[in-house]
Amino acid sequence: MTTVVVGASAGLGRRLAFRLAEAGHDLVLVAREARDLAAVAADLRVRFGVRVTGVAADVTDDEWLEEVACAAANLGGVDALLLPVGGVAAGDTPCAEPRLGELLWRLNYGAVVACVARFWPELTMRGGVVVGFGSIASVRGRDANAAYAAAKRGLATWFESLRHLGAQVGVRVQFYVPGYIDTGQAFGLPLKLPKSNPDAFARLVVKDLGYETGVRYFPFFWRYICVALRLMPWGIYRRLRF
Amino acid sequence: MRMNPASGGKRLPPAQAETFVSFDGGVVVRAARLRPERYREVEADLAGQPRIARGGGYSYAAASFLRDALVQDMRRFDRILAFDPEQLTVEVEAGLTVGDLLSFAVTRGLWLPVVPGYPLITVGGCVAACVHGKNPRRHGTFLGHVLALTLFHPAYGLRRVSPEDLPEVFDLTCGGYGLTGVIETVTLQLTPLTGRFYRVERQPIHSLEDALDLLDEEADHAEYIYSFHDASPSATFGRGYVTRASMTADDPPGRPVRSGHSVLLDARRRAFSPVSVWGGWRTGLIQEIFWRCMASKAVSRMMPWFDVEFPFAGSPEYFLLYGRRGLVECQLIVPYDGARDMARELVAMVRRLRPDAVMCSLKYFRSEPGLLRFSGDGVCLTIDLARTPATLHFLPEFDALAMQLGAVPNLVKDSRLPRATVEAAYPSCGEFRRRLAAYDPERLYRSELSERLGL
Repeated sequence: MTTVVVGASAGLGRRLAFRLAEAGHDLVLVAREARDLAAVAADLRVRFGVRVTGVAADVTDDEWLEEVACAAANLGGVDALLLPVGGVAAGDTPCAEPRLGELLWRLNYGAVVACVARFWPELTMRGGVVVGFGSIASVRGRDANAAYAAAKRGLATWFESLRHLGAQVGVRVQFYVPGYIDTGQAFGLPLKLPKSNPDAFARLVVKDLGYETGVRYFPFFWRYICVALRLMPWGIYRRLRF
Repeated sequence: MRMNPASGGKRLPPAQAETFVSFDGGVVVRAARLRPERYREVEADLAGQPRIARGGGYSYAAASFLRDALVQDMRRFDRILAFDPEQLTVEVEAGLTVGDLLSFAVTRGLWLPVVPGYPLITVGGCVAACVHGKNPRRHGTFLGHVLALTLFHPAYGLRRVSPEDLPEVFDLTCGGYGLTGVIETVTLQLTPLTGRFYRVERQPIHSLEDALDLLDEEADHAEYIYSFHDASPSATFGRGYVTRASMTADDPPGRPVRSGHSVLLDARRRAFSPVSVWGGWRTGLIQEIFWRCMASKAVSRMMPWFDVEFPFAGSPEYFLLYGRRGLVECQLIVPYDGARDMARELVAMVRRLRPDAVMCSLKYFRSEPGLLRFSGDGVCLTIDLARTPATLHFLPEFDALAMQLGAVPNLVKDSRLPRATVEAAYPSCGEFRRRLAAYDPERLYRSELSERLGL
């Protein structure tokens, strides 16, 4: 089984790559930083004896997909596509520098959509699985991470549409909404609830790859928090500064 | 991915203000923890601020943090980068734990004979403290298994350091307490594994002198050999066991090779309880229960390698009983000709000053001398005491006795070791200081340990 992980050199993506390799998947790993990617790939080869190809690329450019396709073809074609790619940026407020918003949109939404579209025919043929990752930040608009949250919200809607399509052609489409996860993105932030272990999250994702899980929150209680946040009147939500 | 806007200004990586505690509970300070996940974050411009790398944080002395400085937590760098099954070498990142390293090695029929006693200690920490294992007379120290390192310092960038490339820096870094920069990767020499189970035998003894006789006879042959003793200031001082272990070629049928469940014990969890159980009359009571339990156990049994290597991984109660007040561990290499004097003087001194001493242990030690490395030939004596006023009253006299006998203290085991004692015991302390200043005139990498010793 060959799996592509986009955003694999750190945080959740790295833990996913580890657990996938442990489960015997051959991997194509995509990340921006070649040095970190090489270390992750070497580690998985040495520990688990799986085939791992690293593709160092900036996913906001256009050329990376063909390189990934070529690497995946060498490993026999894509069976699963995991897309824990994304990122936030300081200064991402509404009406900030438009180029920053555009970059965040391409990183969090455009790259994911383009990647799924590129491999969809292959996944359809092989009955594969696509896994997307949203964010609890997209549940309501906040005064920070405006473009990031909007992109993730767009992604959630897009994945629901994709799920319709997947149901028709036999491709499992899964979408996870992580709560606070103890990755570099959350490190040092004063958060109101404890952070979860990214490795526990990765184990869950890998364990459930074969099932129709639809939309899931991790940890599960974030589903109820998100419902409460959605229902909360604006006057209260504004004061909460979530 | 965290992106910074193109502001051009210096922005430090995200940090988390935290309270750091040395494992013995003796030093508690606030500092800022950085947790790099990418190489560029390890090598980021930290605007000249004092910093120090940190691994598992199991040093008894405060070697991996400094008040108000930046603490670079390296535990996310835990990858195995290369493995050569012919040369039996492995290149790992410095944040890999020794538990994971040994698990990897054992599944490939290989072994590393020198590892410290807790599985979450990192390889980088083993290099920085030049640790020893359970029979240093036979296996030496960790340094003997290190082939090369990569070391980052802002003034020099990332460099390969080994006995062939930059030998002076290699010498300064192995047993250099992290003061020469951040160790990123370590290449280690493994050895063939002779078995996954140990035959462990315990022999009861009545005094430190008896233990010295036995160790002297067997230390050159046994895989592991050490003694542990009751150190409480009572008539029972010195009772104990000599433990020897040797690997067996065949696994006993039906036994898992790793029974060990690791209970996570870090310095903060160790100091969780506000109550210290060791100390005063309670020590005598617990000692009595403990030694009776030991007497009822089989003197010879088969144990999986993990449980022998990491005896406290599954049962951390011994350390928890010290509570928030903590413990003091003194570890010394006493020259062979002074070992019996030390054994005699120690029992007299403990009975006279009545510190809250709990346990002590002996093993034979042999390693090449180094600048500030815990090294030399002799008997390694370790004594654990509850951190009480009686203990603090005892320690200066004990330090004086150690100096008189020409003993060398272990810097990472004792967070209160006075500078004068270290300077007297390590004649090359000044040389270490001079070389370090020449290597890094700005002295960027600093810790509570280096500040106390003026390094």
